Amino acid sequence: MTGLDWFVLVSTITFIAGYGTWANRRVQTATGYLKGEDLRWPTIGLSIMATQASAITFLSVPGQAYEDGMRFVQFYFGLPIAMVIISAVFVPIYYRLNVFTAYEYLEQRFDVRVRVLAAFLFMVGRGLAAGISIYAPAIILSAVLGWGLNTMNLLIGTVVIIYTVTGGAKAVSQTQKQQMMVIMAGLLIAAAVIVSRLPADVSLGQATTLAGALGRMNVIDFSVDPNSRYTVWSGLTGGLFLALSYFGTDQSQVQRYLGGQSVAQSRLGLLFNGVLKIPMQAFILYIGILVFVFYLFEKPPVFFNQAALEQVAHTEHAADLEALEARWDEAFEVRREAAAELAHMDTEPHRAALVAAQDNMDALRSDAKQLIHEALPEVELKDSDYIFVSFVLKYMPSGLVGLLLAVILSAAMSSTSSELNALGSTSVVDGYKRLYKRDLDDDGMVRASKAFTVFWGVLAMSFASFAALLDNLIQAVNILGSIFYGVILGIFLVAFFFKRVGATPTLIGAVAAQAVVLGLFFTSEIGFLWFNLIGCVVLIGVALAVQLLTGSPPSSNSTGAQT
Amino acid sequence: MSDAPESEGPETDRAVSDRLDARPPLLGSWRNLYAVVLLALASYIGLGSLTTWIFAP
Repeated sequence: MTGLDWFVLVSTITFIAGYGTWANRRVQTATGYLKGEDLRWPTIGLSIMATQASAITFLSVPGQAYEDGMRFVQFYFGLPIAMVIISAVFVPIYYRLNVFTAYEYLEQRFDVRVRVLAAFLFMVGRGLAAGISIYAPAIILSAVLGWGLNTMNLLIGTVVIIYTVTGGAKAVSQTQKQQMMVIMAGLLIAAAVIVSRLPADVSLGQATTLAGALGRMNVIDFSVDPNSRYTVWSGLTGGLFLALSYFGTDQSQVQRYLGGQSVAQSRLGLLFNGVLKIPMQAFILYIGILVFVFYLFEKPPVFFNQAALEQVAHTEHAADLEALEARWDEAFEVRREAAAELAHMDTEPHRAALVAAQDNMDALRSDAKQLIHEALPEVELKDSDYIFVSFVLKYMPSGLVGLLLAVILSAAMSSTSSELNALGSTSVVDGYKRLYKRDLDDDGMVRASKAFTVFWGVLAMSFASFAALLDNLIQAVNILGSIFYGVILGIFLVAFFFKRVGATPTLIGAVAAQAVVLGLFFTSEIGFLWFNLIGCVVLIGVALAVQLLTGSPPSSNSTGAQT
Repeated sequence: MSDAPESEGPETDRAVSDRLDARPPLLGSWRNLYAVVLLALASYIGLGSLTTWIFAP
């Protein structure tokens, strides 16, 4: 990190957070603070994208492409369909009832029990996720920059709390617009720099051919193999349910489009996301492909978490590591020559030679991971999250390193601010005001929202600080989220599409679906992403059956769904 | 001339209806715009298939 990098990093982050705080310091109405007011579709669209794109997106996705190729993009194929369904069905209902939170609608459709249950499930899942939004980039950035983990946690958390508490939803949306611009500009410049660093005689087409020869350009997979995690079909089904529940019922996203100037602006913002999300993800994946091709000609480290490698060098396994790295150097030279030959003459023998050289390097990488595990059992062996950031720090020119770190920190802040903002609003609207203080006025709501936002922010930072003490925490939180998401989506789908089903059958369905999902979680090997679909389907089925058997009329007002 | 000032009370049903039924700025109807989004998805899948066919046959 040079002085210029520090200048770019600090000035970018300070400007965005400072402007967000200053410009929204007078937002004091409950509507402006909890929903944001009069937002137009570009702001809504960018805000939705920024909320979803967390720092780990920019750390993980290029690394994912490096290891596994482009096929991850299929995971997003359900998203445009979800955007259309949410625009057509969800948005008009939320607007007609003029709600602050998605869960508020559930009381008008069912009763207060269903509303509080859904809000509670959201707060448990999202409250833990907010900690991870801070922790996940902090652990990687602290390893590569050499800063303390708690320093990183405190830095990200404090800045976000300041502007989120000051300006509420409006500040979150405004800062996200700028954060998204920094992110897009940073990615475009990064791609241009990587291309310029490829050997002069290797064109973009040749680079893509090399990546394809090594299995990195399998973008589309129409197979129905259940063992293949990313296919067109899993994207269109599992991805659709995940996107529907996330964008349609998770308050951190719903809040982004509730503050639109009109239904039309909110819909356009959602559809903007529906059209642009897949190209954006494909572009980030392609950056990972370019990094992969770059490393065909420039020697990569045998393990991308350099700090871990240095630690191994100070153990009794140092000699083994040195011997392995010597073999790695030789294997790299063989692969580099094979890549250069294939770039200039695309024949089957040249392809076979390159694949064999790659297999050899893959085997050596596995050996290195085994060695690291023996030397340092506590180190995470999945190093793909370090690939892009270590590339940036080593090969990007001065100034651009600062800009790309600003991209990663902006992404961390944009998703965290949405989460804290939504948690604060839900705590007040669906908890504090609804259950304890029904006569709370406008000023009281703003004050209570600020207090709850600080509470959730401090809780997220504390959770992020303790996260390092627990094993596999990120995966645990992802699983926890999937366990609840399906049930929340099921409640909303019953509310929207099954107007004769009342509150009690829905609650029974929710309890049954949650029990089934938990039972499957503890007794089966089903991938946790499928819990979204299973929880949702079981809830709808049980609610319909109970309603049919009891034949009781809906216990609460169902006019909310009639739009 | 009836230039009576508009009521500042709760939004009328008509106003709510107008707000909800607002046309999109392009393409005439929401249905057309939704079709364009789904067509974009189909074109992404087509483009991805072509890329796979060319670079990873």
